[in-house]
Formats: sequence, C-alpha cells, structure tokens
Amino acid sequence: MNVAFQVKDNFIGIIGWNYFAKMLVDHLLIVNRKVLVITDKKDHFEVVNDNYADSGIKVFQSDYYNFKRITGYGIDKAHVVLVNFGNDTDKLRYSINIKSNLDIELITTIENIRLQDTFKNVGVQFPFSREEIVAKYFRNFLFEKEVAIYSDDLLTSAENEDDCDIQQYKVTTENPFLNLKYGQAFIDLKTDYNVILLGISKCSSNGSYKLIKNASDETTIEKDDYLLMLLNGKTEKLIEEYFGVSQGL
Amino acid sequence: MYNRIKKRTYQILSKADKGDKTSLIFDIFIISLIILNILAFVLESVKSIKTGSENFFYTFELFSIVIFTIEYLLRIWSCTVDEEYKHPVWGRVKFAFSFFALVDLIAILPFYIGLYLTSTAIGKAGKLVAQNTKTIDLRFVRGLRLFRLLRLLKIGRFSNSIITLKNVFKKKLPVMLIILFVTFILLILVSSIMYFVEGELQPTKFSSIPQAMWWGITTLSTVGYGDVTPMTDIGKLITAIIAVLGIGLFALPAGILGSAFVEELEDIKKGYYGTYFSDHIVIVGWNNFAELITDQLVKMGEHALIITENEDDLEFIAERYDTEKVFTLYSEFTNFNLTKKAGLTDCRIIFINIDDDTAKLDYMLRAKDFFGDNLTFAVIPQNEELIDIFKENGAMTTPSKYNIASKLLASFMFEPYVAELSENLLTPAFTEDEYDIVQYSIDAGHGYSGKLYHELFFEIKKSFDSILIGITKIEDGKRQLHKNPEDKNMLVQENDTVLLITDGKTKIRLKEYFRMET
Repeated sequence: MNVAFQVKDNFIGIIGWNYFAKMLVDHLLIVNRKVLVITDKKDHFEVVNDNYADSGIKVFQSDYYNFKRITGYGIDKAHVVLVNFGNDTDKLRYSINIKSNLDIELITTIENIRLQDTFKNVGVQFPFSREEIVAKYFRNFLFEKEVAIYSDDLLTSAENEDDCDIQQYKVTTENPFLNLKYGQAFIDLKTDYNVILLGISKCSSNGSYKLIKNASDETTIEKDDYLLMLLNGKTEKLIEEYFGVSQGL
Repeated sequence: MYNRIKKRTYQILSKADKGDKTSLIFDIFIISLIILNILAFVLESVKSIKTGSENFFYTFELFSIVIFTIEYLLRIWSCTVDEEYKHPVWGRVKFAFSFFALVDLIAILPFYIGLYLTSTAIGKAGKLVAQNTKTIDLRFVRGLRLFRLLRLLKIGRFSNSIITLKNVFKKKLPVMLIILFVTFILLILVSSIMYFVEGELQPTKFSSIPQAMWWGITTLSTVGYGDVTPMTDIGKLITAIIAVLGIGLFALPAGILGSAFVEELEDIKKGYYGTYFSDHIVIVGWNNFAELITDQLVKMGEHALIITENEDDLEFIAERYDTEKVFTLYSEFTNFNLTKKAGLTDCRIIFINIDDDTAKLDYMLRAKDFFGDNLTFAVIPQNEELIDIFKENGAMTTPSKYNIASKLLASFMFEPYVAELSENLLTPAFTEDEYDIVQYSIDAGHGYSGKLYHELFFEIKKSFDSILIGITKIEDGKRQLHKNPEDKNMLVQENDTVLLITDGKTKIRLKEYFRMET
C-alpha cells in the first residue's frame, strides 16, 4: 500500500471531496503545503488526480470507515485531518468513529453553530462554522469596506511581496527578543523591519497556550511563546532569517 | 438649520424611537397630562373637592390648554417633514384633517369656543336683552366641557392598541354599516307591526311607531327591561321571534370585529403596515446565514428588515429579536408593491440572501426594473465565477462563502493562533479584551492631518494603545488602500482614512477623538 507522505505532521488530511475542499487545497498549495485526500467516489478521485497531478496533493479512493486502509495511506501521520462531509450528522458520526480508532487531530466545518460544543466533546479540535465567519466578514463588508478588504488580505496567505499576512513565529533560543519586553520588540520590529507585532501566545507551565492580543509593553517574551505579526511577503523572509525559524508551528 | 429644527421637532412630537430620550420624555409628559386632565374632570364633579379648589382646577385647565395648543401648532408646523404631508399648504391641510390632528383640535377647540361665548355673554350682561342669551350660552359652555373627555383619545397616538382598534373599525366600517342598516329596517318593521298589534290594548306604551321603537330596541338587543311587554298572542309571538333574531344580529358585529382583530394582528405580524426604519439593511431570504448576519447587525445597533417567504420564520424572528431593531415582512420576494410599502426603498443596502445565484441575479434585475437604479445590492455568490456578472450589474460582491471560510481554515491548520486572532479581528469588539479593525476619517483641521504616517503609528500606540495597520488615500479619483506602508515619508492628509486595530473600550475614545466613524 502506498503511504502518501513519509514525514509525520508535514501534511494535511482531507476526508471527503467537494468544492470547499478544492478551495481549501488551492489555498494550501499557495503556501506549499502537502495534502492527502481520501474520497470514496471514483469521479472525485479522478478529478483530484487529474487536476493536481504535479502538486503536493495525493489522493486515494477508499471507504471512509475502512480505518485500516486509510491508515495505510498515512492519514494517522497528518498534522490535522479535516472531516469534510455534507451534513453535520455524518460529520459527527464519522468523528466519533475515527477518534475511537485512530489517534489523530480532527477539524471540521459545521452547519449548525449550536453543535460546536458537541463536536468539541467528541474530540474535534476546531469545529468551524463557515457561515459564522462569513457573516462576520460580511458585516465588515457592508459597513467598513476597507476593513473588509484588509481582513480578506489578512485571511489570505501572502502570495505577492506586497500582500499582508498575519503569521506566528515560535520563540526559540535563537530569537533576538528572547527574554526581552514586548514593548521593545514592538518598536524594534516596526522600525527595523516594518513588521507590526499584534500579539503573543504565551506558553504556560503545563504546555497550554493563551493568546494575548496587543499585549502590554511589560510582557516578557519567553521561550516557546509565539509572536503574532503582520508582515508582507518581502519582510517574511527577513523575519525568518532574523528569528532563525520558519513561520507556523 | 430651520429644516433641522423642524425635523427634530417632528421627531420629538412623534412616538419616541428607541434611544430618543427627549422624545420619550415628551411622550411621558403628554400622556401624564392627558391622564391628569381626565382625573381633574372626574374630581371636579365631586362638589366637596371642587369647592374651594376652583382656582386650582381653572389654572390647571389653562395650563393644559396652553400646552395642548402649542403641541397642536407645532404638529401643524412640522408635519411637512413627513413625505405624505410635504406640501407647505395642502400638506398641512391634509394633516389637519387626519384622525389624530382632529382629536388634538377637539381637545382644545371647545375651550376657546367656551371662552368666546362666555366673554360675549358677559359683555352683554348689562343689557336687559342679554339675560336669556347668557343663560343659554353658559349651559352650552358646560356641555362643551364634556369634550374634555375626548382628550383621552390623544393617548391613541402613543398607543399601538388604540391604533389597531382604529384600523379594525376603519376596515370593517362598510360591513358594520350594512348590519346597522339591516337592524334599522328590522326595527322599523317590527315596531310598526307592534304598533298595530298592541296599540289598541296598550295605547300609552304603543301610542306611536317611535314609541313602539323603544320596545323594539330593548327586545332586539335582548336587554328586555320589562317596562314595555306585549299582551296579545301575536305580540308575544313577534317578540319571541325578534328576541331570537336580535341575538344573531347583535352577535354578528362582535364576530366580525373579533375576526377583524385577529386579521389585523396577523397583518401586523406579517409586517404589512411597514416600518419606520430608514437607512437600514434589508435581508431578502431567511436562513441560518441570515440569522448570523442579523446577530451581527443587532450587536452593532443597526436596524434590519427581513423579507421571508416562509410564514414559520415570523414567529422565530419575533421571539429572537427586539422588534424595534428587526422588522419582518412576510411576502413573496418579487412582490415589490408590498415590499416598497414595508420600507424597501429607504434602506441602505439590500442583501440578496437567496440560495440560487441565478435567482439572486433575477431578483436584482427585477428590483432594478421596478425601483430604478437607486438601490444598492449586496450579494455573496455561491459560485466564484459569477462574481464579475454581479459586479457588472452593480452589486457589491464579496468572495464566495467557501472562499472566505477556506482561507481561514487553511490558516488555522498550521497557525492556530493566527486563526484565532484573525477570527477575533472580524468580530465587532465591545470589551477591552476584544479587538477588531476599525476605520476613521481624517477630517479637515484634525490634529493628525499633515503628520507622517510613521510618526502617527507610534503616537496612536502611545496615546490609545491601538495599532495603526493601514491608510486609504484618494488617488486618481479612487480610494486606494495602503496596507502597513513602508514609505517613511508618507503623510496623513485630510480625507484619508486610517485603519486601526483597537479594543472595544478604546474604540469609543477613538470615535470621539476622530469625531466621526466612516
């Protein structure tokens, strides 16, 4: 059996193919992410295979409930798996089943926002309401168009050097701001790199993280914290060099 | 300035909108004055209370009349603000003959008539010939005082129940007149028969047809005082038949009015009487997404008008939202005559939330045919490829739902804190823990005008603990967005818009500082 990708945590798994999966894959390809797609439909298998032949997308056809088989394709090695079925009931049923068979991180989109807690309880890390996000975006669009344009840009991974993007960088021992104050980092990053520090995700002693937006100047930047920054395609490379780490996890 | 004062006067005099404290205080004052007037009228009839308090009652009456007269004149003056009465002369005449304006007039006019007649009578008092006139006039004046009771009707302007009652009677007036006519014919007929049947035996009680009509009314209405009763067998038979008929005849209007009330309440619920909203957002089509949008609008303090083709939605929406904020209209989407009446044309944006993209396009084109090109439409297409077609037809168009959501999800998969922050920035902020992106205009003479963008970045951080993330400028006639510009010499100028990330609490301070929010 073909294993899609050898390196654990290096790719995203998508179970179920539809228009939304296509849009997601297109966004992931922009940032050079690899994707493993599992579909139970032959025509979907062929579409993905034909359209993404020379990219980082691997597609397999399988019964979704054949956990042995999809494990063989490497779904258990995925950084996170998106359960991408048509309705909330199917998603919930499948999430319960796959969680009891495989040790994987799950995310899914939900239609009914009231089911968010139910999905969390069965172990879905991020039950995500498409409609809710779009509604928030649409509100900006109606009342503050420039804000909507900006938000859209922030949501999109930077493709061009001028595109702005929010990114997170883990603070390692090589980070020049390690053990310095947040206020100092805010000024230095803007002055030297035209990068805006927006927040910090602080690592607690038990390993959990708490996001502090626009943290106070006196907050100390410590190892394993994440710095969240607004930057463009050009400054992204400079920051990666400066911090000695790539964006993301 | 003159027009602004007139408009404000009209707003204050009209039933208070939510949040309009001045108007609310005025409403409470007028309602209290009306109730006190009625109370004074009732107490004046108690001799022990009236004796010794004549001056107090008179002064109170005078005070009330002055207030009601000023109110009436202000209403006549400011009514031209309303589109229906906008003509300076005929508009005011039309308004003066409207139901509540007539009520207002009746509330004050008898006082002035009484004042005139009294003064005329007193003026002539010295002359012998005037003695009788004075007596007649004062009796008439006392009668006029009964009109003071009609002041109670003035409350109707502030009460939806009385307006509903008025509408029901207005709607059912033709039917009620028919019933009244039939009852009258029957009354004449049976009273005439009874006059001939009972007249000989009871010449005092059935001495004439009008006299017999007293029996007719008490029998038809099934009151039956018993002061006039038939003595002949035929008379008794007729009485029995009329009594049975009377039950039906008098029950008929009650039934008609009862069902009319139900219909009226249904019509109100369905939104057929329209809304006073203006500059609101119209949502055509109700579903989960419309609910989320409405939640956002309500949070922001905006008004929303929802048009739905599903009657079941009415109850859900009414239960979920404050009807002062969200108005629902039950109508076919393309019944533009009805939607116009309900306030479609005074809105800021019409969001077409119909599932199918071609149905959205069809709705937009039909609405444009009906209303012209003045309306602004917003659409979220299902299919990305149709975005340009919607834009060509003048709609504000966002990327598709899938596109927006997939962007955030793609970000979340590898950068969860970025996703959390991005999602947070999309949500309106109300507390100091919540952040969102806001935009403010730099108006003429603002302290920030002429400053370097780079300097402003640090100044805003220092003064407001907020983050400047971009600026828009009008370039070649179009507004251009500069996201976190690198140019250290870029100036902030008049008519620019600055975009900031700020928390919900600071937002209020910033709003004051920038004097306006775009």
